[in-house]
Amino acid sequence: MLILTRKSNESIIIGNNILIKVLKVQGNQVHIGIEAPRELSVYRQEIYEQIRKENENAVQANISSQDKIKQLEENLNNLKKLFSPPEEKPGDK
Amino acid sequence: MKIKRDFSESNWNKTQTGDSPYPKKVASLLKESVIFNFPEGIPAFEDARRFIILLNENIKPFVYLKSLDNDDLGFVCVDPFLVCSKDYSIKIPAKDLSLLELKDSGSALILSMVTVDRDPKNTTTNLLAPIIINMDNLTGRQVILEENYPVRFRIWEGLEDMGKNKS
Repeated sequence: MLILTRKSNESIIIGNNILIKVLKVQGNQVHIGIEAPRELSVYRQEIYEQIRKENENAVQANISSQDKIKQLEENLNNLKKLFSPPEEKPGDK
Repeated sequence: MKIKRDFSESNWNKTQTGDSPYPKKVASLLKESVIFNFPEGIPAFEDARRFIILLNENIKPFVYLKSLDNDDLGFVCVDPFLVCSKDYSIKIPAKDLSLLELKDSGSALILSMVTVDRDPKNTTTNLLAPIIINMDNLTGRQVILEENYPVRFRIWEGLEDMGKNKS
């Protein structure tokens, strides 16, 4: 990893179109400003990793197989059963 | 752009495609023959660029978002406004709006991925990073919102909450 030392209001240029500026240092917090082309997405790393991980958890492989579909239908129907609309709740007359 | 849809009047688990609560443009393109392009894929599956939406009567209002580039890749999704309370709204960051070329909120299809668990109470949906599809150009991406919404939101709790709000 390349390590550079910067003070408040000093910047780093990456390539010819990404600018990263240290705006403010306050205790253990650093405010960073980023200028990058619009097609580049910028995320906080821990949030991005969390989304990646949850996407992996959410994958339903082989959705085309009949068994898999049945299992999925059953799981979702069990969820639907947990919640019946108020007018259909037993005892709710 | 801020998007909020009120489905409180529609009965979530009997939503008919015929009397869809979606804006007209979204409903008219919600067909299995339509291919949606995800220019950047989605995080963790960057190579999956083309998706279709499979509408299966048996799992309504859930839908499958299926990759055309990878046979083993598919997600169960649901419109987040169908399963969580009134406090949820989606503010799409400017960068994402510009990448999607989204100009009309009535053209946005919003789907949250669902992590299905055998225990229905543990089935969750991702409210922090919904998939937004611009029906005007059939382009989609997973948008990470700036609000502090949960990645693993228990659908069951959301529905129970909505039920309480109703009565």
